[in-house]
Amino acid sequence: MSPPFALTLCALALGPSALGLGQAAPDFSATALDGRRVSLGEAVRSHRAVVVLFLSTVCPYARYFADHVSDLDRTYGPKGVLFVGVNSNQFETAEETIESARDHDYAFPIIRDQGASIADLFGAGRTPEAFLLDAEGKLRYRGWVRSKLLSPDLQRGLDAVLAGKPVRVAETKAFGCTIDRPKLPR
Amino acid sequence: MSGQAPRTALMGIAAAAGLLAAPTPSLGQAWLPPKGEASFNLVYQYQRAPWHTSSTGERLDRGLMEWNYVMADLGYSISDRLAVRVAVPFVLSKYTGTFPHRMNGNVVRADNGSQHGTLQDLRVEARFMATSGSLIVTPFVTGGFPTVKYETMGHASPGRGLWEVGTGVNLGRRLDPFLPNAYAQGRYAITIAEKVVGRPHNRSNASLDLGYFLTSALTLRASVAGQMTHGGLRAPQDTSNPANLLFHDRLVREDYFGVGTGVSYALTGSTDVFVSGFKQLSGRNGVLSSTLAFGIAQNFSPAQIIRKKRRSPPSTEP
Repeated sequence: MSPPFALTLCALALGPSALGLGQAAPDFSATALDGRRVSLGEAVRSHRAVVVLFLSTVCPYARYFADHVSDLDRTYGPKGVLFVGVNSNQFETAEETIESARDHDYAFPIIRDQGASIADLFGAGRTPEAFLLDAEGKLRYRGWVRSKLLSPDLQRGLDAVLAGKPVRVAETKAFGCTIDRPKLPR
Repeated sequence: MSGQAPRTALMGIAAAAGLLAAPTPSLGQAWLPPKGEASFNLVYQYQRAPWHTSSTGERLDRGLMEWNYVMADLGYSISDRLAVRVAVPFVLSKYTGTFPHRMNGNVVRADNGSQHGTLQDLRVEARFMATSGSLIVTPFVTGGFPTVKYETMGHASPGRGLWEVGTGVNLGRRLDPFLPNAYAQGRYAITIAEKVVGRPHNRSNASLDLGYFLTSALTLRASVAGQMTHGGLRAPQDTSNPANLLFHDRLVREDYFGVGTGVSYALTGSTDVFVSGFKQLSGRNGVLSSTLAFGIAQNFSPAQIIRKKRRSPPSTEP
């Protein structure tokens, strides 16, 4: 793996635990696949909201919603929202993730989460699965990007957070593919 | 929003769909899962028919018929617009009563009071989602082919043992903004069945299905469904004719109307369990039955499974 794509994760990941609504998200920093340095703590301080989105290049639902995610980024980026993509699947490579990001025209940073440490920090289990943090870094929405009826719940969460209102549907059951974590040593 | 308009294809809204609408498991929905998504459903269905019906709709007590189905159903989305499914039911049937069918004076096997099990008909279906706007229009073709030669004479015969092909259309629509998190699906199908002694007995089926996502994991459903057979034998005018004795069970002009309800729950992001019931309220030339079904639906990505299998040893990248 070439250095620009290397992940340097600085997180205290002791194991998977779900991040609860209203809780402050754990800080992490990593180098994204495009070379950008991403620090969640700094991102929260400098943006009105941050969406940490667990992605996959293979999962049908993650691929299906890719264009919608790209649209959300374009729409809400200028409004002070940062999208951070995370690919935690162990069977996927950085090259595939870069290619997929290019195909879907993703403009936001994407982190290759080797070891699935970030997924563990957030308690993410699926792709796609979104975690919406407000300007204080607190979790305001977690779950699917859109529902099975295409209800845009992440987008509604973003609108509510930006308007300073409560998120009406704050937690949904993400569907899609299971995140492939490292096999535990026997 | 900029960019591509949101596509409205989705989403395997529960494997239970279709089960409510027919006395035996059927297939069909308006929404399709995305390309590369597969599903495996395992369904148990109990059907109980205490009444026969005449051509005028009169209820006749001719004994109790019971069918137990176990159906394995595999589906795959070839693209975001094209999905295929195949299903094979195993049927266990039983007749209890004092009016069994007889042949040469002997009670036929299906009606001898014992349980009889067999594989039934292989069912295949292809659906094409033609529109992706607010109204989903999904035409489909179906086929049914007996997998084995089973008994077709008897109140509790496992099936008709005939090939059949069908076509029709599913319509689906979200009901927001009027009723957020709800949807309606309509279905019409015309089925051309293999003729018996040169007589046609094709049928039309129609259903309307309303669903409501009570929570992100819990879905409630209600449906109405009906069938009208075009051709076939009337009961008892035609079925009591000794000349029709051998094949009348395969050829009856069965019509019915019924209502159903169901609930499904997402155990995980890829596993749903469901239970549903359907009751035929009225009918002609057939039976009136009640059906209870429950099952589990597992969605998966074959591509992801293959990639995991091929997964190389842990990388040494930093």
